[in-house]
Amino acid sequence: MTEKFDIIGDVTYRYDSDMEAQDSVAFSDATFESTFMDTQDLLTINVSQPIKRIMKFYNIEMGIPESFTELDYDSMTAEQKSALDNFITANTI
Amino acid sequence: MGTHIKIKPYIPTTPSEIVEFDTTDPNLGGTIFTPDIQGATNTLYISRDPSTIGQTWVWNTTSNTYETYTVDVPDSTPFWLYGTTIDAGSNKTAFIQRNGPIFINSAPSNGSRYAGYFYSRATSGQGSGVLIRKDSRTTSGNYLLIQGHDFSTNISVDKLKVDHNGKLSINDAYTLPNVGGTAGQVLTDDGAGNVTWQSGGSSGIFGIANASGVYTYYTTLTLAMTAAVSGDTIEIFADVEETGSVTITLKDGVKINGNGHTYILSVDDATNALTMSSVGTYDLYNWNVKRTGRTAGTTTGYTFYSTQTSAKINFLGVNLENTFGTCYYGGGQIKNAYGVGYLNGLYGGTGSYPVVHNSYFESTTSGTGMYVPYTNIYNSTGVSNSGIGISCNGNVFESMGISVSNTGIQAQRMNKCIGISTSGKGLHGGSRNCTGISTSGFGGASGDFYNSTLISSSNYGLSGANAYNCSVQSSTSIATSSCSIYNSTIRCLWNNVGGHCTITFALGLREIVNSILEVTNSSAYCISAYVGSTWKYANNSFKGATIPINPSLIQGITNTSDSQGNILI
Repeated sequence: MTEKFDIIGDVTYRYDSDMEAQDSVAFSDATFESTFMDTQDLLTINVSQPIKRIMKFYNIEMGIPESFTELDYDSMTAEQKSALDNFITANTI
Repeated sequence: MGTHIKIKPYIPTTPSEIVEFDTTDPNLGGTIFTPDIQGATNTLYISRDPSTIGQTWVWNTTSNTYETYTVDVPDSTPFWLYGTTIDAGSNKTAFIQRNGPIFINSAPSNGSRYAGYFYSRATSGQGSGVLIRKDSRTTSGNYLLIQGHDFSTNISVDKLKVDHNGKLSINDAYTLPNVGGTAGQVLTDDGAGNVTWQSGGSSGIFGIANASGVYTYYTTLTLAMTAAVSGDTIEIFADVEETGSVTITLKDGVKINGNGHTYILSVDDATNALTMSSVGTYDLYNWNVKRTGRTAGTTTGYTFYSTQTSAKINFLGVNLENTFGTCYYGGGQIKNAYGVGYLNGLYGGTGSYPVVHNSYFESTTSGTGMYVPYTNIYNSTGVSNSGIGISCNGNVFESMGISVSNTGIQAQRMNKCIGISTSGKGLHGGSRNCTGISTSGFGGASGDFYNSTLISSSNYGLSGANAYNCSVQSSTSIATSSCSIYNSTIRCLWNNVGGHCTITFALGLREIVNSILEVTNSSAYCISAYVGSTWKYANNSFKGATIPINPSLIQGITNTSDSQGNILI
């Protein structure tokens, strides 16, 4: 079952709980995009480990981001929670 | 003054006109004369009837009949009338012949520098020419020769000679072939005067220089490779695109210098651009080789295809590219290569395996930058977008693997390597003196890690592994998962109550010995594990935690230290 989603550009990469890549699909979720996305290089969705959250990383060079933001599920608005839950439900394999 | 009487010497005369007839006697009715001159004086009539061939007759104006005519034959006659043994005598207009050589000896004077010359001039509408014919019943000594002789040195030189095979030699310096060449061929001297037809021209895209630096040119790389022998260098002087099913099979010892030009094979079939099928040494320089023309994702049709493991391929300044599939497929001792493929950069095929030195291979999509089964990779870089940067079931030394969404390097053993991934694992497998970095994946996973650094921004620094003398860090997640840790530094920078240094998700023994474990959130544990787990931990230093060890964790060490401080854990 998908444990992590990584959105890079217009591609969503899916990983299981061992962080093994499951597959990649085109990203297409307008609600999610308008709710969370900006100029990040990488948007990571942790489904449960270490916690349910969204991480955004900026200016990644050689695997190291210049900066990042962390948004815990518990800190999200209702609209954000809805957008995240809908995305996870629609994309989990 | 006395009177001088001039006595005209007797000069036997012979008929000057020759007419042939087809019977035994020209007096017979129906006789055909050639030319048709009949009953003429000063004319010799020669029989061509088989029973009397060569018998001669003249016209008797008294009897008006033909009479046989015979003259005495001198012992040595200079010339005969043609076709007879009759001395030509004073006849200066007849067609004459002689057996034996003719020597013309004349001192040049007054502008005439010729001992003699043959001259044939045509009247209007007729052909003209000079014929020199050498007959012989054998061939070996049968030739035509014009020779020059230097009196001062008494040396003769064959100025022009046509031998029995029809080969023309000039000045005894070089010999031309006796057959024509094929289209586009040129005459080439081997330096010893043997001139032969060779493919190519005075210029061309592909050239091979001889020892004197003189090029022979070829219109295609195939022709050049066919002509090349070990030690040759094929030079390329322009960009080339092949659109047919053309495979260039490299030869042992034959080098190719691309001079910075590009060779493109664009055809929609499984043809490989370059192939290497035998053990040997292959050097390619300063060249771009591109395989294109197929639908993206097609697996066959490689830029470079090799079936040999031990053949040596040295790429110096060579760029290999494949726009739809795999760039390099197969084995070989690969040095200094640079290859980019849509599917795979390098894929060590079945049956032959590559050993890679100082090379760079990249997959632009989901393939492997560099896949090397069973053998080794040295000082190289593998890059992939959503595949593994370097995948090796053998050893990887001083190399770098980079992947956007997959593992940087996955190998049985790594030494002095760097694995980098944006969302996958930095390193996967045992490593020594390595660095694994990932933004959202594991810094490292699986195997024994010695003297290595494993870093993740939002995931485990190390997972499912043993760390010896390592430095492990996570910025926004638990530092390690399911690891035993020895003499290492473990840091969790995540300011969260869940920001532990260790974690497991099932019962299982782990060991944490002689290490430093640091957390950022004071409520987090330096050592945490699945509830009810038994771990062995000793001689550790904890930092940042109010309660460093999860109270649910059971100490698995039951022995105590001896008087020297040693303990069996």
